[in-house]
Amino acid sequence: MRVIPKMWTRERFGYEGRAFSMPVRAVLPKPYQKPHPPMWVAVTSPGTELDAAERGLGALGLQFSSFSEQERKVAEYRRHIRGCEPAGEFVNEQVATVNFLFCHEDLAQGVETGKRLAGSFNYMAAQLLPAREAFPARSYPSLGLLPQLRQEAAGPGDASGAPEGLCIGDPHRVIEVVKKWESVGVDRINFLLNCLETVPQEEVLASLRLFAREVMPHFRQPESRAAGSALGVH
Amino acid sequence: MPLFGVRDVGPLLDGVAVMPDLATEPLTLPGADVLQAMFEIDDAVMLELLPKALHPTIPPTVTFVLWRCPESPVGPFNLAQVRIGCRAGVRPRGFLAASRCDSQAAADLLRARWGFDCRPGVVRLRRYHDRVVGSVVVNDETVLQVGLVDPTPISGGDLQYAANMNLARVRRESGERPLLVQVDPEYTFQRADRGRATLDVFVPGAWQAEGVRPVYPVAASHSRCDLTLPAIRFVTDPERPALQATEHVGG
Repeated sequence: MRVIPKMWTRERFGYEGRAFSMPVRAVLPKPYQKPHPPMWVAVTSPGTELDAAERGLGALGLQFSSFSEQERKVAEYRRHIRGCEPAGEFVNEQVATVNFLFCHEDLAQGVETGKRLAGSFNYMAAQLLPAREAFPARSYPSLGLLPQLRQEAAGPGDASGAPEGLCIGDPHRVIEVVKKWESVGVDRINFLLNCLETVPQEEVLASLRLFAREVMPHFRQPESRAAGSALGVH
Repeated sequence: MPLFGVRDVGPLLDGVAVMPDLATEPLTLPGADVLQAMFEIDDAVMLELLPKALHPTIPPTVTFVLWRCPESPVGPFNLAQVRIGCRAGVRPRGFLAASRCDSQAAADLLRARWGFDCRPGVVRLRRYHDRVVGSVVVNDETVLQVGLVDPTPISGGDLQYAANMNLARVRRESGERPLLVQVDPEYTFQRADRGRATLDVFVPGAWQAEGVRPVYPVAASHSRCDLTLPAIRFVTDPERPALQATEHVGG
């Protein structure tokens, strides 16, 4: 982790370590971004976000959790990153999470289609064999991305019938949910838009257009940007 | 779309257990040893190994499970199972291809109350300092020799044993019909080890698992535990998707 940014930023680089060694050489290609791209750690298991914080890295959350649980994790992440020893040339203090997205003018239809999307994803994901099921070890306290998404997407719902925290429904509901994620400290959300073409492509595109038109402007305001937009619109 | 098994269970029904009812009470087997070894199998036949109710896992697996039970109401017994990894809806399960038991009394009990087919066989499970070895002999032929080598102590909490789906003929008020019976034992662990899985002998024909070709050892575990065979909670029609056809017993 600490060697990679040195390979990116130094003209010539050599290394002698426990895991590997290499003589001084030019490592190509160099990244376009200067000094280098932001570095993220994929986070599935509890506590990995703190490993990321201690190295000054972004927490690329690949798991769902409740708003309250996510708020606690983000607070701990930000507390730890203040005293970090950065692995890269700069600290990338950002928290990303993952979500489903389906936006429709009609709340009921948006929720119904979104639940169908999440349900299809969940059903297909369940057919895969997670490492924990095959290899008993302490290293896999989490089932990983797909089973966790399944659990959360099947969680208790609100009045609309949509599970808490899922970005599905009409623009008003999606705005509310994204604002809630923003309020608990999430900087970015990665959206899953479709699964095995469960949702026809034209509906996916319509959902994206509606999202761009009705939802994104709510996160372009200066105060939102200063706080770190949950939509990552910069 | 998800993949479904295509196996016709008709030819299997002659040899499966007949359950007089589903009113099973839990039964605890204290101090049991459990050896489980999982292998990835050639995926060419994975759909032909499972009934239409079940999905294959990706990748497909076979799991060898051996129990050594020193105490039971019918005396000590050993049981060996060959299970095909599967999903009932979204739930991880193992479809019981066949089982072998070395005690007639235990076989009768396991057939009638939990739907294990329990064919006869000499089943052995032994733990040594550096390995655990399980074997099954039928008519003087070794049909399974499986093991765990280089055991490493782990927490029992890290073990995950998927529940069985046992094909059985179940007598109900409406008559006898084939059902997949979910058997999900509870385990109270006293010790557990993980190690490399080994397979020295496997005769698929002795386990109604023709075409199963283990191609990669995934992992093996051994545990000492109190094993409680449960009350039957769920059954499903082997011919229809489990998500649609699963029935809560008594519900």
